[in-house]
Amino acid sequence: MSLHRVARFADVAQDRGLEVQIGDCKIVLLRVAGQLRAFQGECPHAGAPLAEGALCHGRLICPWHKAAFRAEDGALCEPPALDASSGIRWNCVVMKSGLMINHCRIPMSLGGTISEALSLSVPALQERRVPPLCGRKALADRS
Amino acid sequence: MIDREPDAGYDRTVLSKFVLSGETPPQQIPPLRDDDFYREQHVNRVSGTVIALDAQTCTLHLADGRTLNYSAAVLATGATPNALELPGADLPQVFVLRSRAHAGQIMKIARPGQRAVIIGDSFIALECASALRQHGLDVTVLARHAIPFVAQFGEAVGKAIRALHEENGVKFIIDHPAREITGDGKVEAVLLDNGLRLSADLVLAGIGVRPATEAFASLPLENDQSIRVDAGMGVTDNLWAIGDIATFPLNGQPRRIEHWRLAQQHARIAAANMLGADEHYLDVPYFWTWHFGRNYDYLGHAGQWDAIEFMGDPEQPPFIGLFGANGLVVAAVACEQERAMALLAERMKQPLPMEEAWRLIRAVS
Repeated sequence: MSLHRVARFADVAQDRGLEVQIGDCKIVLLRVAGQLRAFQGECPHAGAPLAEGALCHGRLICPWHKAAFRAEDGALCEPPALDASSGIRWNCVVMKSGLMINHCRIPMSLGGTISEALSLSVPALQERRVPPLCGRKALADRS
Repeated sequence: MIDREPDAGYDRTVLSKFVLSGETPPQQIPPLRDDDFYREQHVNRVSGTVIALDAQTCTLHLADGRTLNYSAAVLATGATPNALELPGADLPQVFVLRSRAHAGQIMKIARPGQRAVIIGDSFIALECASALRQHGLDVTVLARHAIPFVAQFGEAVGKAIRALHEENGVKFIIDHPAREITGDGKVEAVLLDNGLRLSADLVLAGIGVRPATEAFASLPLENDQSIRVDAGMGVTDNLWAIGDIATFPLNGQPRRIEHWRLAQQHARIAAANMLGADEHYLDVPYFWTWHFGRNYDYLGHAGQWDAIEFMGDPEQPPFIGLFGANGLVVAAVACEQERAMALLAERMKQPLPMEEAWRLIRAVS
């Protein structure tokens, strides 16, 4: 289990997600009521970078087609996505020096506040869905 | 799930945007769900066409003679493209676009260098004009309006989109409708009402759709043949209707809206209510339209407005335009302002004064 330093807590804005990457896996970090959540960085609908969307009323809204996910747990709130945004099975560790993130399959309890420097995690949902390569995503990848 | 198309549901939005441009082959259009999903969720797919509904006895009649009874049913038959009513409209290179099969027929014959005549200036018509042009065809649009999309986007954005098409070589002929398509077993030309003859290899009509409700003649239908539903998408006991066929209350006004995402919003509400919930449409309609690599976003549904304000120039994206009525935002149109539009998609669920909207937009732009 290796720890990857991906961001400082202060880097994660209140009104949007922050994309971080470990290997080829893109992750979006969100602030939710003083805690952090980590989800798949690309929209399960068409692969848009979710960090380029907005965080409003506890929902993360996709920049491309305005699918919306509950920031708390990634649940689907608005189409055209058909699935929840998978909570990545990452264990976020907040340390004084920054946010460490670690691929971890040990279920961890939700909760804790940043000031307590607790370990945070998100519920392990389904495996990260790879969106179909089509249209805009395919164009973006090609360019 | 009864479907008249042979394949499971697929992403129809790519047909006019990426299939006709040659970027996505018709057989690679992504399915909404793979076969495992239907199997695992115990969704039984029935290939067939419903020809009649008896809501009293909760019975559906299929074209092949089968009957099915339901405890709860949702009608989601969508729309049928209007066909041209002209001499020559039955020639094999005269098309409409709604399905994968339609797109397949078009792409079977469309080749770079050919001449395409698009009849109509709807969203489908102009998306097809863009896609076929990008595929290398010579494209002429027979438009009903000097500026497209004025009713939805206003003049400034409509002009900018027409200019974008013209910069990319699309020709527009305004207000000279086609009178006849000529050719001996094969499209050769389109004759206009002013006597002009346009040589053509293919003709594509984008002149609107009508609700596909022929099978539901037993229900009371609106003048446009749609089905009136309540705020929970309910028609009558145990019956719901959604999407293109549904006239539903939006902010208290009966509306029928032909957006892909809105049909999915309807579907989620109907599904919850079929399971006993009491959900209503309180969301914000949204659609996107794709022209020459530019994506235009539209939120809300404004029949009329008393103010339109812009940040940025519609001719030079990024820009965002807000439509106001009595000081509140009723719709927004934008290009390359995706974060701001994502924010508005959520924030417009509550009344949003124009000034506050601009503050929010400036804060994230």
